Formats: sequence, C-alpha cells, structure tokens
Amino acid sequence: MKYKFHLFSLLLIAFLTACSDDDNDTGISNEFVVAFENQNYSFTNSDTEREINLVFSEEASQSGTIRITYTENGLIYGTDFSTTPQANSGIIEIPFEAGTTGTSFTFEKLTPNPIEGEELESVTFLIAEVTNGISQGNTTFTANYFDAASAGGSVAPELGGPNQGNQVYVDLSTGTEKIVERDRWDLAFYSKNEFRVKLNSSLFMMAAALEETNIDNVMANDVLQLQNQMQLLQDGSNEYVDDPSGSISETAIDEVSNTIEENKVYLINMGNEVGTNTPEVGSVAVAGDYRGWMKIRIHQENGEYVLQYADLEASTHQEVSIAKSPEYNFTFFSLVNETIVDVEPQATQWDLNFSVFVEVLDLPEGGQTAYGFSDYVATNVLAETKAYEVSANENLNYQNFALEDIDENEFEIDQRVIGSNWRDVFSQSVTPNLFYVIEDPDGNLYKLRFTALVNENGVRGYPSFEYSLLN
Amino acid sequence: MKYLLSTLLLTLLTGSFYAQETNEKKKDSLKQNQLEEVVLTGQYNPQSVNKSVFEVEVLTQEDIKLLAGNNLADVLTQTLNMNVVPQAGEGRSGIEQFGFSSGYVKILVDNIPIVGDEGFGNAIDVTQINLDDIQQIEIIEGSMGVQYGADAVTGVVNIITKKSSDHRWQITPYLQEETVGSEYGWFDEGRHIQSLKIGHNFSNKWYAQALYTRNDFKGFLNNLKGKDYYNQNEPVNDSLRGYEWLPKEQNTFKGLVNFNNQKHFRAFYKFEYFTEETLGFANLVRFNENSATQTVNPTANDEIFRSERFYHHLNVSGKIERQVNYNISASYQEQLKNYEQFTYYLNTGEKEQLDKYDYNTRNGFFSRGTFSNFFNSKKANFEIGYETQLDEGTQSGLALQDISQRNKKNTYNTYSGFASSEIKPNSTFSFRPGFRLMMSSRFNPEYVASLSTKINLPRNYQLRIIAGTAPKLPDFEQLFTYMVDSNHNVQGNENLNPENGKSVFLHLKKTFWSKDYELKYRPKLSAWYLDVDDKIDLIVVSNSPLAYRYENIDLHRTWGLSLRNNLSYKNFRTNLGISFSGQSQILNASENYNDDYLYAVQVNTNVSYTVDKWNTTFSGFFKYNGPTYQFVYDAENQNEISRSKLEGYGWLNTSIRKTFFEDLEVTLGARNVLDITRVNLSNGQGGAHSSGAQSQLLGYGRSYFLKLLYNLNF
Repeated sequence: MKYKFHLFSLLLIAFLTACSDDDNDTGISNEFVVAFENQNYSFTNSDTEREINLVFSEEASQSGTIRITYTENGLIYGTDFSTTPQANSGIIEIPFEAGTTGTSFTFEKLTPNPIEGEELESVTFLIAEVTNGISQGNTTFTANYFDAASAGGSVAPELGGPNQGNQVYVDLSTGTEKIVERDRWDLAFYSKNEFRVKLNSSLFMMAAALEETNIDNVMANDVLQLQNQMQLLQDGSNEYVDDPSGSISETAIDEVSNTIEENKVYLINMGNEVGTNTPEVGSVAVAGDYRGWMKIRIHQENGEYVLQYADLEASTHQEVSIAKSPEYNFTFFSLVNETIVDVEPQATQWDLNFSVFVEVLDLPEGGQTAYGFSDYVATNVLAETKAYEVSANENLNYQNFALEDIDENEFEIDQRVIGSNWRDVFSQSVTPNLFYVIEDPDGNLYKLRFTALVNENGVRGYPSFEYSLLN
Repeated sequence: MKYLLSTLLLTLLTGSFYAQETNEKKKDSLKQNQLEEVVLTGQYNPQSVNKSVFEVEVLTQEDIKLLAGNNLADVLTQTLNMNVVPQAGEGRSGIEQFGFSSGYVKILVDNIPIVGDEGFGNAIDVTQINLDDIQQIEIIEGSMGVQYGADAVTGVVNIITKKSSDHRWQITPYLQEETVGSEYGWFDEGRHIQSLKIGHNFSNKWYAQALYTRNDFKGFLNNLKGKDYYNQNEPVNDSLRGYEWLPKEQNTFKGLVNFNNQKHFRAFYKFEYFTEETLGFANLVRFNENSATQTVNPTANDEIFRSERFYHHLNVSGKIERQVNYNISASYQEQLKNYEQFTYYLNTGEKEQLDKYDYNTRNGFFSRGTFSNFFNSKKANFEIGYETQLDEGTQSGLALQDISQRNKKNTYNTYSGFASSEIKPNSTFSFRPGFRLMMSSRFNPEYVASLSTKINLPRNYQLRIIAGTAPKLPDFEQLFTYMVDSNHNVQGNENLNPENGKSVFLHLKKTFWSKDYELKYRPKLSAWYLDVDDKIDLIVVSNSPLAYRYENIDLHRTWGLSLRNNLSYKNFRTNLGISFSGQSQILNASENYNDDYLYAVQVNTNVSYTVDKWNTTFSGFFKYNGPTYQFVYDAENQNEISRSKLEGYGWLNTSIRKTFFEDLEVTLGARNVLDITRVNLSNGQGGAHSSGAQSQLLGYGRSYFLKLLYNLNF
C-alpha cells in the first residue's frame, strides 16, 4: 500500500507541475535602419524652406542621434542654405526619441536658383552614423537648386481607408499628390476640341440617352424599364458607362452636337454615395446610399457647354453654362452642389489616379456588365501618359530593370494598364512579380512597383508604391 | 449491389444455422441480461438494448478507455455512418451523419441538449465535450423529433454520465501525453492532458463528484512554420506561416451531487464550467515594405477565440403515488465565444489590438418532463411529456461590409407537448406511436410524428421498423446573412421555415448464444431511407441585378443498408460493421442538377482481448470510409456537372492497457496508425476539367499516446 501512495504522489506532483511555459514573444530581432524618405528635391524660387524627412525601419526602441554629413556642389552652408538643427564642423546631429518611426530636419534656402545657363548647383546629404543602427536604401538626399524630375521614392496615396472616399492624383516627376473627395463632382466637360462629357465612375454613375429632347417632358414612369437595366452586374449595363479605356470618343454620353435639336435628354443614375460603414478588416465599404436619378441635356453655345439638369420627377429644370478649361483635361461640375468644382491638377501635372472605378466585365453566361472596382489605378491617358506592365522573371526584375530594358512597342495609352491588376484581394496584397514602366507627359521614364494594398493592420484603402527614374 | 445484398443474406443465414445448434436449450435469462447493455435514449425507463423499441448503438466506457478518448471527437471517428469533420482552421470539429452536416445531429448529455457556440443541441463542436465522467455514449440513427425535438434529424448522440461510485472515496488522477502527428515537445508541441476526479459517497443516499481536466493541444504545424515565420527571400507571401491545425487549450470543471433515497426518488444536480482558448495564426504575412530603408516590417492579423460555457442541470425522477413515473429535468446553459483580432509584428513580437467582441454567444433554458406508467398493464404503457426550450443566441460575421450589422441576435423559444404509447397486444408484437406538437416564437406550429414497431419473429429474430420525423431549424447564416454592396447581393431570409426530416429504419437482428453462454454473437441487418425536404439553399432571386437569397427549396435523401456483427467470447470481443449508402440531392435552386444517387461504403471493426494473467487488454479499432462522391459544377460552365471524388481512407487506433499493482492503469497506444492527414479530393472526370489536385484535411497523422491513470479507491 505504501508504494501505491508513492506512485500516487508522484502522479500528483507531475499533474501539478505540468504547465506550459509562458509565451515569450521575442520575435525576430532586426537591425534598426534609418534612411531619407526621398532621394532628391528640386527647389523652385518660391521655396524658402522644407522639412527633410528621415524614416525608420521600425519604431525606435531607444532614443539616439543621427549624424548627417553633406557634400556641397556649388552651394555653401550658411550662404546659400542652412539647416535646423545647425551643422557643427560639417555634421548635423539629429536626435530621435524611443517609440517614434521617423524624424526630420529643416532645410532653409537662402539664395535663389541660378538663372538658366549658369552652373547647376546642389548639396547632397549623407547619413553617416546612427545610434545602434545603420543606414541603408536612401542613404543620401540631394537638394537641387534647379528644375529636375524626381529620382523616385515611395508614395502612399491617401485613398481614405476602406471607404476609399478620395481620388488621388499623383505626379511622379514632382512626387506630389492631390487628394480630392470623390463625391465632389458628377460630370466632367472635356476641354480640348471635342465636346464630350464624362461621368464620375467612382460613384458608379451611368447615363442613357432617351428619345426625348425636351428635358421637362421626361417623367419617372417613362424610364422604369431603363432603370432596371442601368445597374452594376446587369447584363448590358456596360453601355451606360464610359469606356474604361479612357478614350474620350467612347463616353456613355454622345458627343455634344452643334445642332441643338440633336442633343437628347439623358437619364442619369447618380450611383452611390461614398460608403460610411466600417467593414471587417480587409474588406471595403465603398458604396453608400443610392443617390437616385436625374435627367440632363447638354448642348453647345459659343464654344461653351450648356447643361440643363433636373431631378427625374421635376417638370422644370436648371440651366448653366460651362466653359472649357484649356490648361486642364476637364471642367468639373457638381449636380448636387450645382457648381463648378476644382478636381484634377492641370492636364500634364499628374500621371496616376487612384480611385474607385467602373470597369466592364464579361459575364460567365455571356454578355457584358459594368462592375465596380476599388483600389483602381488609372493612367492619365488624355495627357498621353504611357504605360506597360512587366512580369518579373529570373533575369529581369524591378531592381535591375534599366533604361535599356524598355521596349517602346509595349507602351499603351489606356487607363486600364495598371487598373486592378496590381492587387490581389484574396491574399490582401499586391500581385507578386509585377511592375510597370511609365512615361509621363514630359518624357520622364519611370519604373514603378506596388508595395502594399493594406496598411500594417490589414485595413484596406492604404495602397503604396515605389518608383524610380530611369532616364 | 446485388452481390452485396446476397453477401448480407448469406451471413445472416449461416448465422441462423449456427444458432439452431446453440439455441435449443432454454436460456438463462438472468445471465443473459447481465451481459446486455442497458440504454436510456428514447426509453420510458432504462432498459436493455434487446427490449428497447429503438435501435441504440452503445459506445461503452471500456471502448472509450481503450481509445483513450478525452473528448467526443476522439471516439466518434469509429462510428458507422458518422464522420468527424475537422475545421482545423477554426479549431472546431463537427460530426456528419449520413452525409448531413452537424446541424442535423442532436447531441445530448444525460438526455438534454447541450449548448454550443452555434446551436443548442446541434452544430456542436465535439472537441468541446469532455468524456472523463462518462458511463456510455448512445447513438441512435434516424429522425427522433418526437423524443428530442428540433434538429434530431439524422440521429441523436446521447452521452450518459456516471452518477455513482462503488467506493466511499474514489480519487482518480490521470496524465495523458500525446504526439500530434510526429510533433511532440514537453511544452510547445503535442497534446498534454491532466485530470483529477474525486468522488465521495457521503452516505448511501448522497454522492458527490468533482472533476477537473486540462487539455492542452499545441496545434499541428504539418508543413507550416509557426507564428514567427515569413518569407525571408523576397517580400512575397508564401502562405507558410501559422498552423495547419490551430492550437487550443481547454479547461473543464465538473461537479455532481446525486441523491437517491433508495426508494422512489432520485435527484441530481450537475454543474460544468468549461473554457477554451484557440489561437488563430494568419497565413498571410504583410511585409510593409519600407522603400526608403529597404527593409520590411512584417505583420499578420492573428486571432484569439475564447469560449466559456456554463452548464447547470437539475434532474428529479421517481414515482408519484407508487404508480406514475416522472422524470423532470431543468437546465440553464450558456456559451460565450469572444473574438479578438490583433496585428502581430513578427520582428518585435508586439501586438496591437484591432477588434474584440462577443462573437457567438448563446444561452438557453431547457426543461423536459415525462410522465409514464399511469396504469398497470402489460399490454400498454403511455407517456406524456413537455419540453420547453428558450434559446437566445447571437452570431457574428454576417455582414462583411458593415461591422455595426455583423452581430445578429436570434431567439427560438419552443414549447412542445408530446405523447407516445407503447402497446404490446401480444408477446410477439409491440408498437409505439408518438406525436409532438411544437409551438415556437418564430415559426408556425410543427407537428412531429413517429411510429416504432418491434416484432419478435420466429427463431428469436427481432424486427424493428422505426419511422419518425424531425424539423431542422434554419441557422443564423440562412436567416441573417447580409452581404450587399454595389457588386454583390446575398441575403438571409427571416421568413424561412424549418426543414423537414423524415426517416424509416428497418432493423433485423438476432442474438446467438453458445450453450454455456460464453459465446455471444449478434448480427444486425439494417435498411433505411431518410430525407430532408424544404432544405434551405441559396438561390438566385433576381438576375437583374444579380441577387441571392436563402429559400426552402431542396430535397436531400439517402438510403442504405448496414450489417453490424457483434461477437464476444470470454475475454475476446469483436465488432464488424459494414454500411452501404447512397445520397441524392434534388437542387431545385439550380437550373440543372444531377439527382443520381452517389454511393459510398463504410466498414468498422474493433477487436479487444484481455489477458487476465497479465492484467492487460489489447485492442484495435479500425474504420474504413470508402471513396465518396459529389456532384460539382464546372467553374466556368454552370451546365457542366461532374463528379468529384474524395479518396477512401481508414482510421486505425490501437492500444495496450495494463494495470499495475491493481490501481495504476497504463495505456499506450497509437491513433491514426495509417497516418492520414490530407485526403485527395479529385474531380474524377480528368481531362480539361481536372482543376488541379485538391485535398481535404482530415487528421494530423499518426500519433502516439501514453496515459497513466491511478485509481485510489477506499
């Protein structure tokens, strides 16, 4: 009996001590890396100072100092430029705090750019030393006192998270972006020779020509059938949206005729408001409430557009003249706010537009339909931004792709070249091994590669890409 | 098919010749009864399997011990017509019976439904049902709506717990160490179970028992590489992070107080508190490339599911006025599943909480009372009863585009009255008609009926014909899904009706005894037809624009034959069962479908042999699931239907149990000896439509266990 109790106690001890180790989440230790956010910046004469940003590979685990040296190329510290904090014997010391993910210093421009024909002047900063860390990647930053295309960098267009409430116009050569709420406008009136009108596809708007030419005669009962047809994922609804290629001659609304009587009334599906729901992490909620139906009629008068518009039920209408904007692709008008609005940058000052977008899809049972896409990237085809897609292979990848690898024949002027190909919603990331070659309206050639579809937490609507100048 | 039938018949016939020799002599019914299993499920009073009007399959405590079964999922893999289907990615396991999902099987503990995170009695995660206080598991096939209400469509699994002990004190600690496939480590791999059970008889009337079990399953990596892995070669996700089978830890506390006045009154109160924590690791790693520093800061969205269950059950039974038997149960149960999602930074190990909410919760009150034996008659017995089930649950994840709409609460309050009568006009014939009226807060009254007949044929053959119906209530997804945005429209339907299940089973069996009653052989031939009408399916309600909604529309049916043989001789026991069944689906929801029957075979067998001299029992359990087929639509052309095939596979478990010093039981064994992990799922047509090899995860490979159990009884 005695040994039985021994056995029993042994078991009991084993029982009581059998417990798991506590999870010690040490993770994988990595080196702390500091780099300049961008490689260069070209100052204009209106610039007086600029924050030069330094970014970290991860949150700093301790406070420290970054030591930066500089190489002058025609510019002299204290005369042509200065910095805050100040340089001391050729070294700028920038402190950083634990818990931060970046820091910056201020560059002050003290003299104007040299006039054309004079020697080009610049200064290049170099990260020389980092407390308990290294510098890698963009280890240098050059401030140019002349006009030069951006050498590249990384951009995270602010689409606005899972509701994707913004359209973001990105200009690669200046590294700038313009953010516009995508429900700011409804109709875009083409500025060049033709009289053409584009719909705001980011709101899933559609237009259908009616037989009627008198806007006040159109009533809701006349268009019931048509309303059923004018829906996303409806066979044939591709006819009511602008051609996704971006070709201005294939808009849903016909070219505005010189002959006033030839211009028909159009039924407009106003689409959806920007979504306001919070979706599950990784999903989008781009479509909000329905915006209802309107009717419009457009004709031209003295080189300007004349827009008549009204609610579908109304028996009277509003009328407004809309002039072309020569520097821009379009003049934008809001039917909701009944006013001309500022949307796109000047025609040649943007290359990519990040936005919700309407594509045309083949249906499995045949036919085609309009279909809404989020995270879409359209190229500025009206300013002849050219692009093509490259699939990386063993020999050619984004890193080693150089000017001589460009195949001019591959370039297309079609705003779908990037489109939605770049992202894979199922893996919630970018499509692996794809990159793009882009020629902007000024002839700058860039390679461009997407780096994220979601943010660190997996939330949609936070794309990012990197790009680099090839010529 | 013909071949199979004749084999079955031949087996029965040869059996009968053999029986003639041995059955001449008048039997000693007392001895026989000692050897018979006593069952409760569907009975007025506990009675022997032989007398029961229903056909009850019993998994004994001995079986469970030999399988080293800690939870229900460990043991049901060996049951005919049933499959344990792991959803390894969620850490759950459901059971499928006759090819129907776990929503159609009712799981009871001591005759009352148990609450789970997705259902009250049905859709139960069988890994959450601890077996450390079990007397036996009873399994009935067929629709049992009259006895057990909604969702008892394909059958019932009734877990009977032990409520007494022969000893004044019974202290039973045990330790069980298991490998998970070939993965084992003292702390971070394998499966580790510790348990302690204490039972005490305070007097001959009062018995109390307490139990604690911890089951720590460290997950199964298989080809995956754990939580800190990411592709170091290039910032491209290779989906190798995480676990194939999620790690989870369970703690079970159970208490029991049993009172038996040794006359005509018995009562027990049972309590259970259960917790479970399941860790979900995302396969997807986000690299969060920093172009400036040319570094990555990989993150992944990981999850923790925490479940908590409270269970109270009070039961009283006895006789009123020394005549009427009553048995009344009241139970309150709740299960709460909490979901936490966080961003895990692989480089630093930091966590950032993203979301935390009650994911699936359920609480229910249940009461059933039955009253029988109103008059003394050998020819007829009559039972009436009531059942009240108040079931309130919430489910999440029903609206992807709007988290404010993702939680839905649903209340099913059902009030039932049922009556049945067992009528024995003579000694050869008895039948039991039954009827239940179910009133519910959500649906129209449901009428449920059953008729069971038992005929004693000449030469001691017994024939049972059991017909019954049972409704299946719509689940949350079917009622409340809301996935509507500009491009999609999939909606639940709050106006759905319950599905209707009905079944007819025929069982022919006979028990053969040798002269000295050392040898017992019992073959049983069964045939059945079971269908579920008004089965809910997602249908296209509008083509312009495309919209889907759940409707009561389909018919699923199955029929089959089985032969179960049961043989024991002294210390040797063996079972051999074979089942052949076909399934057909009439999918009125689809424009075209194929309603051909698709057939499948299952075989199960087990052998155990005890060597008294060594105090050792050797056992082997084997179940073979033959290939199963399904019709699948071609992804590109909905008009093309082909058969997909899930290859056949076998579960083999073996163990040796030896008792040392009379009190220390050591069980050494192997589960899944045939090392099944993924089983191929192929589109049998081949050619252009063989859309690549797919597979279904069914097990985590061969694993070994060692169980040390000590019985301290005094």
